[in-house]
Amino acid sequence: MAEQVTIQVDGQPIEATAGELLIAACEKGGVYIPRFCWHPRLRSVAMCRMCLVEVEGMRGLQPACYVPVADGMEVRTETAAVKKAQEGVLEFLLINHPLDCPVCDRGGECPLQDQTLAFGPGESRFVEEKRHFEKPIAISDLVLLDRERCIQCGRCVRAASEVAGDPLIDFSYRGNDTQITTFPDEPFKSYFSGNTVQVCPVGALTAAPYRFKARPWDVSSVETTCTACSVGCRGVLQQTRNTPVRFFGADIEATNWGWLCDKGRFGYEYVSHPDRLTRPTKGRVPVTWAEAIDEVADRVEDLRAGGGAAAAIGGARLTNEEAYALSKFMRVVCSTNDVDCQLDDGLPGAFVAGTQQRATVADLAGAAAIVLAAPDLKEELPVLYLRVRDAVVGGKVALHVAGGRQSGLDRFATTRVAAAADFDAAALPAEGDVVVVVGRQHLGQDTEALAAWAQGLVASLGGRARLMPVLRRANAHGALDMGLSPELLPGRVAVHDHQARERLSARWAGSFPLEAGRDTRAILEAAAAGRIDILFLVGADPLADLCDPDLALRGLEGARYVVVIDLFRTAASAHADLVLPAAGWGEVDGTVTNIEGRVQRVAANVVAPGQAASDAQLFREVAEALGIEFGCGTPQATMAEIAEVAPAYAGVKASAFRGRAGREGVLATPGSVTWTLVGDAQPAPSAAPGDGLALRVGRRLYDRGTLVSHCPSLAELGPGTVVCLHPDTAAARGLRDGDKVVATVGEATFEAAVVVDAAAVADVAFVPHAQGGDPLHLDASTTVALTKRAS
Amino acid sequence: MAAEVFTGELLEQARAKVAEYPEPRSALLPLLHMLQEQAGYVTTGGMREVAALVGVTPAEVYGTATFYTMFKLEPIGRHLVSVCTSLSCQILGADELYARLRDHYGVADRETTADGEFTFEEVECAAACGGAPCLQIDYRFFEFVKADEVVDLVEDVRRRGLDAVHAERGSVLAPLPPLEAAEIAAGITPEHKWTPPAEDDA
Ligand code: SF4
Ligand code: SF4
Ligand code: FES
Repeated sequence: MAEQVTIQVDGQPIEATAGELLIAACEKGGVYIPRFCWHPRLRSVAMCRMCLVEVEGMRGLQPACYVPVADGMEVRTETAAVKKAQEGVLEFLLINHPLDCPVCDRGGECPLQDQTLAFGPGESRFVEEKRHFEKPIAISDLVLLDRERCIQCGRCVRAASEVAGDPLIDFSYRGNDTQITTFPDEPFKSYFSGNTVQVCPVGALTAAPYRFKARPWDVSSVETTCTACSVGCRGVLQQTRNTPVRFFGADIEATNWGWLCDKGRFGYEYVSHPDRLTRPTKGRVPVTWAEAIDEVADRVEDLRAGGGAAAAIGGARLTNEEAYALSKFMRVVCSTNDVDCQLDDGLPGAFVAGTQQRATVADLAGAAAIVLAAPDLKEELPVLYLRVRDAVVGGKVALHVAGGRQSGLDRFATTRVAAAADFDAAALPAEGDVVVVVGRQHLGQDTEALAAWAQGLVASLGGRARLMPVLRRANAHGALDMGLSPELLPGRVAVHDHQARERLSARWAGSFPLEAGRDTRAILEAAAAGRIDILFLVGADPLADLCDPDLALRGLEGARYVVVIDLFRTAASAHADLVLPAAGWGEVDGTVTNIEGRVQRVAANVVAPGQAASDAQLFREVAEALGIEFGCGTPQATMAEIAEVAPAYAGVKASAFRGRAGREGVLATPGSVTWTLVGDAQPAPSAAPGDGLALRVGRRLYDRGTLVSHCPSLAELGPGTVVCLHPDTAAARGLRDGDKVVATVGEATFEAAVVVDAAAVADVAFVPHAQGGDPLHLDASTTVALTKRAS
Repeated sequence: MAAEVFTGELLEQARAKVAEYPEPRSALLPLLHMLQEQAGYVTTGGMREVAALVGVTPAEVYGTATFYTMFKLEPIGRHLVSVCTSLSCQILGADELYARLRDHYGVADRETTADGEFTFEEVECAAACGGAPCLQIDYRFFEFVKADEVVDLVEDVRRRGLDAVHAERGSVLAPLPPLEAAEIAAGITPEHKWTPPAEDDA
């Protein structure tokens, strides 16, 4: 615990931590010192001089953003000298500032406006011509720069370089001409470019998707949780006229520190996309909501009477409350455990839900070492990447990379091995905590083996190890916790857990099997064999997401009755008997659970289009149509029910989310389910036979998935269909960057462009998933042959 | 990306220059001068190589190169004519001088003549106030230049070459020992190489 000191600010005592910056200490004590260049999450540079104050015993005025507090320090923030300095700095900054507030996105929420009003001189002596620039210039696909508004605070430069590790923008020219630029042929291509807009204290940097869309006083705002991946970043969603127009990061200590990735920041666009499903359809024919519910109820009734089988795939898009309702519906109403929120692309559900010493994001910075046996975090869990980067930059925490693609973190790594199994735990420091981040590194990977390896490593380290199993999809962790897994019940317990079943029986009037159900692949196999009577696809499209397109197709064709519940038409909806429009993020209240097991609130701020409704409502209405008392009437009621029946969620109550502390959410407690590897782990793939290259398919941040492709600002940012090769591997095959090739994988062929990438792994072809082409049939030993096409 | 500018001997020189400083990044300006000597301006590819050599980001190299007006970001003519228009020269007619040149050659500030021979630029104080109005051609000084003679001076350089014209009409501020051109351009002369005062001098 750092030493506590007392300082005097304008005669009032303020408690502070020794070494803390004066500007921060004053703010906590209720004294606001104006500032431009200082930002609590960035390094101090004391460039703008707006924060000058008098400190007893120090000569001249001192920048409060650079002076650490010391016990007994006497500070004056309102003297004539301070006032003169503040007026001088503001008059100076405004010399070249266009004062075009009425047409500036920042107007109304602009630190320059606000501080000029509060601390400025009110008048300028500058009568000469101001500088002019061509405006705006696009410094990235998403960020625009109006150079004449820039006050040269350097926040954007530091956010890009220090925080994101993308030092692509900097100051150029000088004097009047000083401006932020990129290197001439190197655009500001960063997954975190939107953060610069958020930290810019003026309207110099604006976000293309938000520019001129709304005025800050015309929007209604809620704080919510991003669900574009499972990091659980907090942010503020703003809408005007029922259209989301902006999402910006909230500074939450536990998770995102105010940062967002661009996919999260701009991913709200799909919510108001005109292609959203607005009413139920049978085939292409619209039906009413009541007809749709009746039809599903009839089908379910037949099945209950005749012993038929139902199954559900998906649910990672849902809130915990909706996922719980789905889980309950399948168990109680359909008497089955055939539910799976993963599409054979995550980790074993019981392994994730059963994690005992689970790491939090905050544990990363306090650890002695981090072992990364995970996908490229920057591509899949971007803000987790930022937090890992922050921990390992400068060697504060040792990083060990165990397998996976090379990533921006590799250069901080103490050791790197090509596969998790090769990792030598002897490389770890002898003392201190170790956080093991484990996630599927590429599609088709044998994750049972990976999980077993992680379990072994954690066990060998004893009490000092913490495990962070990471799934990518929105609320995949919450969906597992709610029992959307063939082997789990709500609350991280096994399906056959008698205690749990007893607890549930008080609330769940219905019986369901004691044995684990089928997972996604098994469900589809059963469907293909004609053994599934009703298949619910809940925000899931096996045709696009499963790395076995034949199986997906056979399953959808074989299932007797397919219900698709989604936001948009998907490939699967062509095979659906009934398509129901769902309400999604920004439209429903509830909670979601992130990679740490942290339960956080999501809040509705717009009304879902047409008849789109929460998935929970649908399942409740079907149950009630069958005369089954279902509950789950409101998210609040469901949350209370979950707390009652799911021990891991006992602390997740509405009251826990109130107030400041509630913004951090609640950590669910470890469950009782245990996971062990059954049988032997598959051997690692041997070298690729003959001409073929080992094929690795993995995610990129931007793909052609349903949601991204309905966000106009993001839809085009993916790499397209490409094959990434190491320079040596490409050279050995006579391939160059940009060459067109025909790739053959088993029976399938596709055309792709070659990307020569020094960060690629030699003798491996990396193909980003879901970039517009058909999914590939993959397993750990799949190879690809490349034939160059004459151009 | 393979280096295209800093190869062979030039690469050796650049590495030696970097090694002269405790911090590699301190060699940024000397290396930019070396780069500019190659093609007369700092090329994008070259700046990228400099970034790698001194261990800073390309954006920072660009920021530095644009900060200093003596680095040219675009190709310039065979000769660079820099007219000082700061106070002393201005009082003594620099504006007129510069206007005559622009009118005669039909170019604007920082433009190059169509034949690629001359680029004209207006510069801040060239530090020859005693000889105002002054101009430089390829950084060699001509002082007390008269408006009526300035076009002739430039044309003389075209006809007879800079060396000959400078020997007759130019001024040598101080005899310069042979130095690397980069150092001359950087303003580093032996006299200016600073030696710390002896302890007891303080
Ligand atoms: S663009 Fe904004 S954040 Fe960047 S230096 Fe200018 S004012 Fe600061
Ligand atoms: S890292 Fe994930 S949760 Fe955070 S902003 Fe990006 S997509 Fe959203
Ligand atoms: S905020 Fe302190 S100098 Fe800018």
